[in-house]
Amino acid sequence: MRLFRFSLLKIYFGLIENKNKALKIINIGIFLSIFASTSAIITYFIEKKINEKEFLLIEEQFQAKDNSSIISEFESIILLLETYNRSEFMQTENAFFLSWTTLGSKIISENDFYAPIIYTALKDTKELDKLFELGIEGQNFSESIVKLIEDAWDKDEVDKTKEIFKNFEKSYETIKKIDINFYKSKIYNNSPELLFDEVSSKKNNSLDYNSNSKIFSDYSAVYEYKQNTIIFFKRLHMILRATLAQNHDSIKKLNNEIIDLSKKENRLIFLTFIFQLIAFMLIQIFEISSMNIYKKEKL
Amino acid sequence: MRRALENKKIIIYILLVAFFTVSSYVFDQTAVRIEDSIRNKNILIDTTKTNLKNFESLSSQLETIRSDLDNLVSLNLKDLHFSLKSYLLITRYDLDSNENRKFFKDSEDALYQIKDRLLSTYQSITVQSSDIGEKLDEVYSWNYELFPKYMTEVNGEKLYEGVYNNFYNHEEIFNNNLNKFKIKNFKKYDVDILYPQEKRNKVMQSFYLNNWYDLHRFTLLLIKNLDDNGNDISENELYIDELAEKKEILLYSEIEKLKNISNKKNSSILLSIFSQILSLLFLLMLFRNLILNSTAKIK
Repeated sequence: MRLFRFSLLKIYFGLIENKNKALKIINIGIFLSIFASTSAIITYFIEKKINEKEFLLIEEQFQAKDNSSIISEFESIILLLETYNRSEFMQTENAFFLSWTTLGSKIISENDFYAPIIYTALKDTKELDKLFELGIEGQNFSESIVKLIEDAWDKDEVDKTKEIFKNFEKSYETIKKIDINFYKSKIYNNSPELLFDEVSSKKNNSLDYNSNSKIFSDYSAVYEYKQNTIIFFKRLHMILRATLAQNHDSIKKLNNEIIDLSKKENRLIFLTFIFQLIAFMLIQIFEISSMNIYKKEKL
Repeated sequence: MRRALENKKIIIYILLVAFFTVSSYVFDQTAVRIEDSIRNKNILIDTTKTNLKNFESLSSQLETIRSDLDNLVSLNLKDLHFSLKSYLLITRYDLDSNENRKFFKDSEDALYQIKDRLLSTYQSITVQSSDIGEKLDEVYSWNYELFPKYMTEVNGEKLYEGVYNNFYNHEEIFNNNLNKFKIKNFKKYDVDILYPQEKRNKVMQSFYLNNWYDLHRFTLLLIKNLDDNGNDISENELYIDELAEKKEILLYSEIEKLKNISNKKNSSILLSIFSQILSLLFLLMLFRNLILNSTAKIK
């Protein structure tokens, strides 16, 4: 059938009277086809770019979502830490007040009050070890975070951040030296007999702001660490908020870029379609004409 | 010679038209097949996202319970010795009980309140342990497939055993620490002694120093048990976090794969269009060649 139509075409082109006109039309068709192929190539590259930008957008959206959930997690952690610290501060104030009385000084000892605070604080630090393992490219966690803000933030703010991180790390290193097992054993191996000895002892071991005992020194280190932890988390929260804002900016920018590229692509696809259609119609004109001549000859 | 050359040209054009028509079809089919892969990848990504969200939610639930447990341990430990020490100070003659009683408006009522407080601390830690156990069972039972260690096999069928018994195993804790008790009879310190109020009042009247010593020791052991179980929660939290991390890595890798597949799909579609255009182009060139041939023959 194809061969049959091809021979018809050959006959038809042989019979065309105004061959120049026909050639012109065909040339226009060829020109349009070449133009359409050029458009297709351009579209291919634009589509590739759009695709890459779309995936960058997805990644940015994921990061924004992650940051958003980490921010709310940080907010809860900060709120929890502040509530605990406030409540602990009130308890300590009351305990100190009680310890200033004769009976109170016998009831509350440094061991009773400070050991659980030190023990629970040390237990929580195990999780922070995981945080410090999160360094990037040979840098530790703090260095990576500082590098992140160094180009975007004011020098004063960067210096303040460095100081906060330094203070936190310093207090963290100090409390890491405290032996958790010593306090665990102090708490759980405490027998009523030992308590009796403590109460009957003439040695004053009640709460005192000027105490020189090791336990008070450890408690002070833990107290400082807790304060620095809140400041540290607040700073991280601030950085995360800035990162989230940056994510949103990138999302907006990528969206605009995709829209622009999409518009360009749409225009080019439309042109490609039109040129393809014209080229196709030109072929059809010749095919239909060749069929008509064949019919006339048959008649 | 010239005719043979022209025929060769025509054959080449026909072959090119055929080649690009076939390639257009091939690219079209490839795009359809890739679309199937994209659908499968999207399903996989959605499932991974859901799993990730579940893990994150599970980790957050465990974190809340553990944080609650840590807070309970810390609060109970801080206050634990106050009541026993107060009891000793107002009942023991060798600790100046007569002098110490003078600090209270009504020393008998104070003694009653102190005894009640010793019982309440024991009651409170029992209730709190039981609450934590129930909360954990609620979490683990809905996600039992993630915690096979809490499953048991009964008649070949796997059933969720739960963790409640780890939190409410008073008799076992008592018997494991029998050497620490002065009166080695669990019935004396079972929770049943607290209910109803008449029984509780009777206990307050019948308990002597050794009983209060034992009850205090038992309360401390229950706090220790709660504390030890907290480590198990931390381990599970870590395990879930690791699973979440793996899912997150998988999610990003699947998105990367989807990006590549999507690129391939776009390339296939555009190559198909490009092939169609080239096919039309060579068809037009074939027509042009035929017209030019017929013109040459006439001349």
